[in-house]
Amino acid sequence: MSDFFNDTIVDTFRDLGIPPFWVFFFLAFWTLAGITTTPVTFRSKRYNAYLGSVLGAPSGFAVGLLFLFCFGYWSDVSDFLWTNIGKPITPDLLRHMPFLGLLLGLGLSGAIAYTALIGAWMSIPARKPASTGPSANRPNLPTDYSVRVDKVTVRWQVTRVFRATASFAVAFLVLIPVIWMGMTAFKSQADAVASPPKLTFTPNLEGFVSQFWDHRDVKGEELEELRANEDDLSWQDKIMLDKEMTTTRTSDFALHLRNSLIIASTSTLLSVGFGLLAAYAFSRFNVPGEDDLLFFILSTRMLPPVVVTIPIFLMYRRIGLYDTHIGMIILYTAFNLSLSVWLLKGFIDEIPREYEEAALVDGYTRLQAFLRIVVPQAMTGIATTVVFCFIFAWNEYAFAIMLTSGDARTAPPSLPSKIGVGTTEWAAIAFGSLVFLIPVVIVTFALRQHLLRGVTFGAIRRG
Amino acid sequence: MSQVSAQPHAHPRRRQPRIQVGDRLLTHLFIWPTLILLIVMNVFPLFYSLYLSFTEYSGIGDTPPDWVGIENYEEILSNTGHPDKRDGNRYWHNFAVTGRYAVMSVGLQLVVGFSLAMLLKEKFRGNGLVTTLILIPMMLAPAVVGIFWKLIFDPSKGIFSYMMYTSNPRDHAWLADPELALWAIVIVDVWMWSPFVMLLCLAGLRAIPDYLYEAAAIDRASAWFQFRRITLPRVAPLLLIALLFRTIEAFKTFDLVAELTFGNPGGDTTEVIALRLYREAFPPQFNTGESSAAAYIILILVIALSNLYIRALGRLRED
Repeated sequence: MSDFFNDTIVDTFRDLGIPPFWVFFFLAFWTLAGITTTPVTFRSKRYNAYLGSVLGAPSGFAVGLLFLFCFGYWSDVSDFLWTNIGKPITPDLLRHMPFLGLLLGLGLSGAIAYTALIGAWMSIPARKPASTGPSANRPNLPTDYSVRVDKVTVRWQVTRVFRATASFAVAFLVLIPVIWMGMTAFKSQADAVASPPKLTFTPNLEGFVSQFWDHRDVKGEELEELRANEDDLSWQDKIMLDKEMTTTRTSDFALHLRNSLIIASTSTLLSVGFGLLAAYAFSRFNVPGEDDLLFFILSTRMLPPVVVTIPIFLMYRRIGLYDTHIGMIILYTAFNLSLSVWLLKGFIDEIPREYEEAALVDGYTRLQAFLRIVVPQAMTGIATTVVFCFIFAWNEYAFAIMLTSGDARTAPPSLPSKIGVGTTEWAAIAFGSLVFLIPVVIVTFALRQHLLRGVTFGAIRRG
Repeated sequence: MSQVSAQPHAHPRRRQPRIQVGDRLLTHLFIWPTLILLIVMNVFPLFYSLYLSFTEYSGIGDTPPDWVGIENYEEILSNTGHPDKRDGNRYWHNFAVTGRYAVMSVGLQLVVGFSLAMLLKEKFRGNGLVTTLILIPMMLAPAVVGIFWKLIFDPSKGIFSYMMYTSNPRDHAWLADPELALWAIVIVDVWMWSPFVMLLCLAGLRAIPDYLYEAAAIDRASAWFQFRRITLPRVAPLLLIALLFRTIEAFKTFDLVAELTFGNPGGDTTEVIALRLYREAFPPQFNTGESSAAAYIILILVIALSNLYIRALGRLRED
């Protein structure tokens, strides 16, 4: 079966100019689309949903083949585009550009797919509009009235399911580099640099060990000796022994990761602390020239890091802050202040003033009211701001590469230092990147409600 | 938690703090730490580099800055170079590369991001999950992304060539090809930042009330007409913000290019202006005076764009 697939289908399309990856991708996608959309169309006719799935898979596969053929037929068009991409568009090039062909190919394949998959089923009249609301599975209940009337037809439902399938396919495409990084992190060095790239491999921790420990080759007698005493070795040495290597000491990367942690967290605390005070003042008091000050604060964020660093570099060298933790902490604090002031001001603006006023009437001082009423109320906002500031300091690269060289170097500029020293240890680099990414990915999920707010400096509240 | 703090105790502490801090003093106490830090770390350095930009000065030399007036600016803008420099003084080339990069990447990001938002705007099961998954690239560190895409673009070990070509991927080294290298960087930038545009557009699209479309449907407006007259105008302010923000960022691009190509191949085909500045201002060149002048030219551009951006943000706040 797989031979048939490889030899016949993949090779056919390879001859037509479609790389195997896209053959797999589109066939899988259209099959999935067939499986997911057919039950929806059949449900309205009260057929068995399973029948729909069974019919859907082959018909979706067929549409996929058709789609690929239409694409492949115009492969010379795509070849032309790929070979000419990036070249300046001259009249000569324009004359040879088969625009018409491309449009025809796209249009034809789209039209055929549409007719085959959706068009025919669309014409089946639904006996009763299936609803999208809570009454979807209970046909006797009235349609949820908040659902738009034109969105309960079969056509809309099919489109919606198709959309869902397409979105998951897009998400998969987008995440390929991240997935690839995750895979490379657990490959051995040989697998990581294999050509062609390997999809299947035995996972091991070689990348982890070679990223976090310095290592050297061992030969001859020393190797024999190590092999003889294998049980006494530490676990990282055992892993490296298979590669005929031994670890010497913790690598610089581990140190730089610690630096990153110290610098990012301290600067985050400071910038959120200062930012909270300033945001409260801007939100509650009459600050003369408030708009101008806020404008000024935000504009500092827009400055290109390279431009700011040139004078700061000279300054730091003179006062001895170059390549120190304190220097980087101060810099990142200033860098994140604008974000924290703007974000926190948005959050504090949402807390009703009446709470504090009631407290003031009851005899609280302003400071007590701030600490005991506003701060607890703004906790969500503070947490969001902390995370955003932390991520920015954690990810920062330009300042770090220009203002640190050794002691205070953070992890991002330290990652590629494995490149260029002998062979590039891609598995190690991938593991380092992965360690670096994991907190970011977790945070992205935790913060998804507030992401929009964070990236627009609090200007847009809800996504 | 919130309930307790919302209702202060009926009998607050009798003992008042000895120092009564007035609101006006408190304002100053609260705002000045922030302002001082920003002035020390941003305003002062900028004035310092403004001064340096009018001088002939090297960061490592012992000689004090030597006032030369607008000579640095003249040199940069007139495109004449010192003959002893590596590749002359081609600042205009760097500006051109940056501009081309900005137009290409921001344009593509707007198109891709908007399409993604159109795909995801209707709710379906798993919508939140997919949206968050697509947003992940935006939060990653540009440096890490740069390093990793280097492996992906590798002609024999990377998966990019195997995904894009049917045969002999070794011939297609995008990062080493003077014509394709900029496109390779654009692809990475689009991969990373289209989700940002998508996030903004999604907010705009979801905020459009349904009754507008219903009214249009009753009036038999076509889908294209609805898109043009309802969807686009409603999303336009957010698209503008995305456009301005991404343009500013594109002019500041440093980490991605530094990791992917460091200005190579073919000499300096992808040397964006930030990278050029870095090379001029830091070891081994240490051409502080001239690079400060070049920095000021970018700064003026970025500040002009930021003005527009902050104004657009402000307008959105008022709505």
